[in-house]
Amino acid sequence: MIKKTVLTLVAALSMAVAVRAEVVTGQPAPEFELKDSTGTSHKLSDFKGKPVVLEWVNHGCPFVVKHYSKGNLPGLQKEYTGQGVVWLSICSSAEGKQGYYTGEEWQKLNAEKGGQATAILLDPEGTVGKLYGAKTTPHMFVINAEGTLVYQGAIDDKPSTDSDDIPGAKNYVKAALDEVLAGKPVTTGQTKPYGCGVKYAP
Amino acid sequence: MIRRIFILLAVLFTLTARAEPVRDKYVTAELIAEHTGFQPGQPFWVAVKLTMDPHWHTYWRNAGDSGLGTTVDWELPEGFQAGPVVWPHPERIPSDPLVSYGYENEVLLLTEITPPPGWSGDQVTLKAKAAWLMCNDVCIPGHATIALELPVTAAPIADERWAAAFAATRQALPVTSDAWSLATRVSPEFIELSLTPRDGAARAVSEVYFFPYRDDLIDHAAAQEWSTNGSAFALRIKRSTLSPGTPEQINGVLVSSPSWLAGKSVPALAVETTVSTVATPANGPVAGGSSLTLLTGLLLMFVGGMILNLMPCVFPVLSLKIVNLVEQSRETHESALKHAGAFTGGVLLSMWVLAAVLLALRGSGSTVGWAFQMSSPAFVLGLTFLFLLIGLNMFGVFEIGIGLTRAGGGLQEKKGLTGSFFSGLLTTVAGAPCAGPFLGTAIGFALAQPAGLALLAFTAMGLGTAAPYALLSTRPQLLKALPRPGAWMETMKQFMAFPMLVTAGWFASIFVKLHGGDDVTFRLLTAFVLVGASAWVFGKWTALHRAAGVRWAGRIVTVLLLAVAVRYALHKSDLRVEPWSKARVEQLRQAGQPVLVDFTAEWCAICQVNKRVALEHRDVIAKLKEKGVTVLMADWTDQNADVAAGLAEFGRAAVPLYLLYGRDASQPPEILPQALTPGLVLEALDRLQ
Repeated sequence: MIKKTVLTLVAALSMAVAVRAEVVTGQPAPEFELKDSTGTSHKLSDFKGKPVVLEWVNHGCPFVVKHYSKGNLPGLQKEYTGQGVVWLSICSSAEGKQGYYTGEEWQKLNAEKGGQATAILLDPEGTVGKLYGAKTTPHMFVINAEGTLVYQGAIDDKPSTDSDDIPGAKNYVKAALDEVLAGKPVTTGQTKPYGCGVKYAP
Repeated sequence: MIRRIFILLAVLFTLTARAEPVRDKYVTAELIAEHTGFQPGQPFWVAVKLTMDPHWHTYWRNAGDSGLGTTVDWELPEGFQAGPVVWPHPERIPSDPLVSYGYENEVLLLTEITPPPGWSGDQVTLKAKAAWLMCNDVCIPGHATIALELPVTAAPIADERWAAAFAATRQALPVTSDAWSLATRVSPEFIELSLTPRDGAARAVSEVYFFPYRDDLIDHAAAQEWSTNGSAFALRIKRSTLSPGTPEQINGVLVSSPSWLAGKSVPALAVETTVSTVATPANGPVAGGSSLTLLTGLLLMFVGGMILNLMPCVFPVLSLKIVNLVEQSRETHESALKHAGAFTGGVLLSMWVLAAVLLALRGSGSTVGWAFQMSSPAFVLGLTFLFLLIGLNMFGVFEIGIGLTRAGGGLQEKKGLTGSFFSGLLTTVAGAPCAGPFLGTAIGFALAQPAGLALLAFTAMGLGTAAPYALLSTRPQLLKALPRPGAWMETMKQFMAFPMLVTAGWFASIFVKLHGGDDVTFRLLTAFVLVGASAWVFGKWTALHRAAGVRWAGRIVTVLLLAVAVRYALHKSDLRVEPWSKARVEQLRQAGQPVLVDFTAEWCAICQVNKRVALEHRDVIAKLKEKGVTVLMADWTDQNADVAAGLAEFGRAAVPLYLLYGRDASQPPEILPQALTPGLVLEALDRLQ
C-alpha cells in the first residue's frame, strides 16, 4: 500500500516537470550541440562572450531564396561576423525532405549561395529546431554575449517572396544586432516569423 | 458576305462573358463572374478561381504557422470599385509540428465589383493580378494576370457554368447569426469562447475549430478543447507566445461539423467580439467564476472534509471506526489522541496524493477538477455509468468493496498506530466516489490556486475529514450523542441513490450533446439497461456465498455487459449526412453530383432499422464515398410541411422513402425499396455511371 502510494506520488511529480518547446525572449537561450558541415561539433556555450545569430535555412524555400539571391543575408553575415558576431545557419530538414544535404553537399551549396556564416549546423533529427520552436525558414534568433535570447522571429517586416521588398523593409536582425553591439536593450524582441515550414522528420 | 459573318461572330462574342484560365505550374487561376453580364450601377460578384493540382494547397488570409495568403490586385477601368476579398473558411493543413490554414483542390475568392452608374460601354474588361504561394512538400510562389470580359445586359442571369461553385463557396462563408450568443474570456495562456445556443441552433456540433484573422493570436498547432456543461459550450484556445498582452478584440471564423444552424448547412460562423472578461492567474481557467477569499475557501474545504463522513460510503462505519479507535487505545495503552493522530496522518496522506495527481495533471496542461476532460464523450459516458452504478449500489442491487474491506481490513486490524493510520487512509479512498458532486465547488476553487495554496486547501479538507474521529475518540462519551447504527442507515443509503441518479442524468445530458449522433438517446438508454443488467448479475452471482466458479462467471458476464454498453453508447456512424432541402438537391444535380435522399423520422422503426443495417454498413459508406454521393436526410420527425411536400412529389404520404439521383440531371431518381439491405444499396450505387 505504501509502495503504491509512493510510486504514484513520484509519477505524479515527474509529470509536472513537462518539457516546453518554446524559448522565451529575455531568458537564457537553451544549450545545444550540433555537428557542422565540416564534421566539427559545436556547442552554443562555446560562443559565450560573443553575440550569436541562429538562422534556420532551406535553400529550396522561396523566402530563403529571396534573401540570398540578391545577397541580403550573405551581406549581413559578412558584416556582423566581421564585428565579432557568431552566425550559425541551422538546417533542420529531415533526411529525404527538401533542404537536407550531407556535410559535403552543404559545403558546395554554401559556396554557390555565397554564404558567409561562421558555420552551418546540421540538425536532421530536428531536435534543436523543436527545442527553439523554429517554425519557418528563415526563422531568426539573436542571442547576446551573456547567452540571453534577445530576439526571435522574422528577418524583416515584409513577409513576401519578392526580393524587391528587401530595401524598403525594416530588418529586425540588423536592428537587434546593432543594439546588442552598442550595449543597448533590444526594442523589438519578438515578431511572427514568415517563410516555408521547417521540414521536420515525421 | 464574309464581312457579315465576321460582324455576326463579333456580336455573338460580345454577348458572352469571356475569360481565359492561366496556369502557373501547379495552380490554374481564372477570373469568373456569377452572372453572364452586368447592369451599370448594380454591384455584382466575381471570383478568382484557383484550381490546385492534387496535393498542392494555397493559403487563407492568415496562413497559420507558415505560408503566405493569396493576394489579389485589381486593374479596373475608371469608376469601377472592387471590394475586399471575401474568403470561404479554410481547412487546417497539418505538417507536424506545424499547422497552416488554406485550401486544397479548388477555391473561389469572392469580390464584389461596383460598376459606375454612368458606364457607357457595352462591356467591361476586368483585370486582376493574383499572387499566391503554392505548397505541397515544397513551396513555390505563383502568380497570374487574369482577365474577364463581361457584357452589359439588361437583366443579368446566373452563369450556369459557375452556379454550383458559387453556391458551394457561399455556404462556406462565415455567417453572422442570432442562433448562438458568444462571449469571450481571456487569460494569459488561453482564449475562451463560450457559446450559448438559441433558437435555430443545431442540436449538436462537433469538430469545432476557431480560425483567427490575426496570425499572432493563437498557437495554430495546439488542439482546441471543446466542452459543454449541459446548457452552453466552450472552446478553449491556446494563445500564441507572440500574442499581445491583452487582446481586446477577437476576430475570426468558427467552423464546425456539420452545421451551426438546425436544418441549414452553415459550417462557419463569423466571430467579431470584444473580450468580456480578462482572467488573472488567481481565478484561473474554467473555475466556475469562484472568487472566494482564501479563508472562506479553506473553511469550505474543512467543512467539505467533515461532510465526507456523512457520505453513505463512509457514515455507516463512522461510529464503528471510532469505537475501534477507542478500543485500540485501551488495548495498547497509547493515548487515544495518538491514535487519532495516526488516523489523521492516514487521511492527510491520501488527500495529498490526490492533490499531487490532480496538480500534476493540471501542470501537464489539462483542465482539471470536475471539468477535467468534459470534452471527451468517452470520459463523460464513464462518469454517467459510474454514478448510475453508485446509485444502483446504494439501492442494494450489488455490494462492492467487501473484498477491499477484507484486504483493507487486514491492514486496519493491525494492532496499534499502524492500524489507525491505514484506517484513515482508507476513509478517503472509500469516500472519494461519493465526494464528487458535493465537493465540486470547493475542489474547483482549490485547483484554481497556485500549487502551494491548493495543497493547503486539500490539507484543510483532510483535517475536516479526520476532525470527527479526533474529537470523538478523545471524548468517547460524545459517541452516545451519535445515532446508533440501525435500519435507518440502510434507508439513508438507499435515499442517497437519488442524488447519484440525478448526477448520472446530468452527465448523460452532456454526453448526448457531445456525441451528437441522431440516435444517441436510444443508444444511451439501451446502454443504461445493459449497465443495470451488469449490476444485477454482479450482485447476484459474485456474492460471497456463491461457489468460486459461479463468482468468476458472474464477474466475466458483468465485464462483458459493461463493455457492450460502452461500445454501443459510443458508437457513431461514419455516415456523413447533410440536411435535405429542395434547393440543395437542385444545386447538387446541376453540378452533376449523385444524391441519395433518405426521407425518415425518429418514430419510424423501419427507417431506423434500414439506416442501421443498410446505410451505415461499412461497405455502403465506402461505396458512397467512392461514387461521390452526397447523402441528404429529410427528417420528418415533426411532420413538417417541407418534407411532406417532398414526399408528395413522389406520390407518398409516409416514410421511409429512398431516392437515388444519378449524375444525369434530366433523369428521374431511382426509388429504392422500403426494406433496405446493404446488398440492395450497393447494387443501386453500382448502377450509377
